[in-house]
Amino acid sequence: MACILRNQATEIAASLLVAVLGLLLVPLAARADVCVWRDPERTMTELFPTATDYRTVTKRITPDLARAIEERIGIALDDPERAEFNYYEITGRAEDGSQRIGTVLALAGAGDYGAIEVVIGLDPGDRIVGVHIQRMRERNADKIRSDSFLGQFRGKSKEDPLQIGRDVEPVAEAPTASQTIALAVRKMVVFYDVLRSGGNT
Amino acid sequence: MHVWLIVGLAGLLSLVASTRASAQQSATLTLSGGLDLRAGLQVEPTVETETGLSSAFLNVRTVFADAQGDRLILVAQGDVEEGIDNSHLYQAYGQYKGPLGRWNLRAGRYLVPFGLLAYYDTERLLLAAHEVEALGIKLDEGVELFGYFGAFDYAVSVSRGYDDRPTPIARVGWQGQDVRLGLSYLYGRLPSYADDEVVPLKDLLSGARLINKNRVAIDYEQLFGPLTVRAEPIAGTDDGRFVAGAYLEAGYALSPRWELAANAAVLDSDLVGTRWRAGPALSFRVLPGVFVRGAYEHRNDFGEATDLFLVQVYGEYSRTWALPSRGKSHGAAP
Repeated sequence: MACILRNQATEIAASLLVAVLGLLLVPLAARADVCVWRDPERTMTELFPTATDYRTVTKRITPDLARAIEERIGIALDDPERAEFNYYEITGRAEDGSQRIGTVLALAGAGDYGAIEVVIGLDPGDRIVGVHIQRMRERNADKIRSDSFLGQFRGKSKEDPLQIGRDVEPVAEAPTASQTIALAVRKMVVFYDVLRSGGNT
Repeated sequence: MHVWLIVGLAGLLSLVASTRASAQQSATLTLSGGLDLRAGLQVEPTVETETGLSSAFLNVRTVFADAQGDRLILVAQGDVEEGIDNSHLYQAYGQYKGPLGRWNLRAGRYLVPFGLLAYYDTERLLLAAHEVEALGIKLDEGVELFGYFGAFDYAVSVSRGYDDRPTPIARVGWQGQDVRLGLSYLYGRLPSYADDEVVPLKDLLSGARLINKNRVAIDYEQLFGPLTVRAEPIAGTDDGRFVAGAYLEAGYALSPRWELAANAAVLDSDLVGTRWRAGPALSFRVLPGVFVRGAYEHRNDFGEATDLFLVQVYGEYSRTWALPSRGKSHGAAP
């Protein structure tokens, strides 16, 4: 019995080792760890109460665009962020009669207990109208979601630092989550600006 | 039953035609794929082992947008299990999305909108939810209307079941911050028991029989910081005899990469008998999209007990492309 178990355990371990090595050989950029916008309609109406619909826009990130983004945010992009980026044009009835009332972007960052999925809304002038935490498993979630923290981003744009310690005060009990959210917001604002302009900013 | 499917497909096609007529403007294509490698070691009642490729899948998702927004979604996913000869279609459907997603019409083969399955599919996890045992069905061909209204969502589905008699399923749900609740109903002529979501009819008839099933369930999901809890109490009848059961799952994020979880499921049918299972699992995220998981499961099917150790290596990838657009664009997109 013990011998059978030992042989089978060896066989299983060998198979799994081959599997792990095989997966490690898959190009990093092909792996997925992206933020999926789970409940777009609900988030959309929170950020844009007059929204009537949305349209997905996919942009390919070339090496030149990735470099332009990295220069602006000051750090290297994560591998899954180098392939493509989606944003969502929100349609509705704007005061000036136009159809596009804003843009929604979503991006995930690493918290202390897994991914923090951050969604932001930008008005047609590219100012942040709101930040929504779609899903996270952090402690002190109420404080992280509070208006005293997330409200700090409202009205800011690509011209602002969007950095903890400069123009954003962190949640004292959640420094990692605060940093992650601020970086995700900054990344999204820069992504949108660079991708929309084709890198000519 | 085919009438329902034909009517649904005809409705979908007419909506698609109207979308194309109103100047389709853009489209995106997403390809997702993954490898799900599992090794199992059963230690009771006999020592058995399974190694090698468990399954692989490829999912193609295309979204067509008109001038106002995303409108038509086409999804096809194929699974291959234990070799190319054992391939099957997992999901394949067309979905027409009404304005802001308040209503959607879906036709084809899809996950039935019952209980937790309406938003939580455990197909690629070691800890599986209990819809296969509790319902005898997980995917089916049919027509579904679903959407949301404020904090509430709804789904109504009519599918073909196992002998082409209509299988109506309905669910209403409510979603708050970090919490979801739902109430579901199903009626259908379904297998008395099942162990896999894809049961070929010939295999089904040799091992189980079709019975009339009624099911009502409450699904619940809540996040308490690092702790996620899911539950689904269920009750109903099997050929008029009472059946009741429950599924419970808890997962705790130990760190960004490690998660500890456990689940338990029980189903007691006056007609078929009692089945239950329970076990813990540990998951480690090796790299983005790559996980190694281990689990232990004790199960008791109608008095026969088994103990099983499982190890899984799971990897997935996903890429999206913008397809060439047609017509004049609007808004900020260059």
